[in-house]
Amino acid sequence: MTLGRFATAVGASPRWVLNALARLRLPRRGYDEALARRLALCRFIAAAVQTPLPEALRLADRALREADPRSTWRLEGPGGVSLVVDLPRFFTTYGANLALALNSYGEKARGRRPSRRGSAIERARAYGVDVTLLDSALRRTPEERLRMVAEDMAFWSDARGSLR
Amino acid sequence: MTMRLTDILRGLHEARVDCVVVGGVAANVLGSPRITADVDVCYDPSPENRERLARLLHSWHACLRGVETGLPFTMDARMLRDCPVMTLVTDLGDLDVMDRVAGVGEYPAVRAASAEHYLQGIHLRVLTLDALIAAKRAAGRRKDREAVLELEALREERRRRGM
Repeated sequence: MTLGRFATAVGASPRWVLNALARLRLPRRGYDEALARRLALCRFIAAAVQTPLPEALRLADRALREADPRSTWRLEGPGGVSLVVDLPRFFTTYGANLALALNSYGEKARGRRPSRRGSAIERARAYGVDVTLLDSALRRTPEERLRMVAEDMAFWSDARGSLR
Repeated sequence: MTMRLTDILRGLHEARVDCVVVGGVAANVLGSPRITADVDVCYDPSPENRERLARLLHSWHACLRGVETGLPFTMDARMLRDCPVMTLVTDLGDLDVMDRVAGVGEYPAVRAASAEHYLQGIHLRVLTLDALIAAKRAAGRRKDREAVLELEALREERRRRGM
């Protein structure tokens, strides 16, 4: 994973991730799903109980090692204090962030933006967009276009399914 | 699993989910020839609407797309509140739901930047071309750069044709 994708999975900004890795003395490379899960739970615990990150990571590691992800995890502390982590809720939120990172995240485009001078059609054509397709699409009614996109989506989903 | 776009749109309409179709399907309705694989919907984050959407997604057995199935996942209104953007797979196909659109704003701004269409017997609110372009610009990913150029060309062509 890139840093940006990893930070999306953790549910934090890239800057927070880099600072947290430094604070936790974890290497700033090898961004993977297991580390994202640890860091997300560490962040969740640190925010909930206002504990320093190293202590939160220790608790997160313990929870991930010992607890059943389908139930709440309870840790009894000294003086009758207990920590209760709603793990199903945590995993639901973490999973949503991970899905977002895997499906929607894309690196920002860098470099010079395409010129905005002249006709938009000419700019699109110069970039390599097949603008003749616009003409055929605009000849159809919105009703026909919706029907076509529905058929295309059905076709491609079937094709993807048959390749799995 | 076969993607059933019109069933998704009809389901949202019949469940009275207040939402706007954004993303690739909206662009297609407006005349973009670009192929899209999922439906993107921006919903009103009011508690009642979130509840209606969560019930509908639950009935479609929505789960997270691309994430291992062993992880616990609870599809409810609180989940929608905690996660403003979700990429889901349902019985009817891939569906992304969000309560705001980058470059356009939160739901009231998204709704204001949409127009109602009556297509295939369904009342749909679809994001306008100007707002789609703003959203693609704000996303700013590599793949969005080409989409912006195509949508701007589409806007010019529609204006030329008086559409």
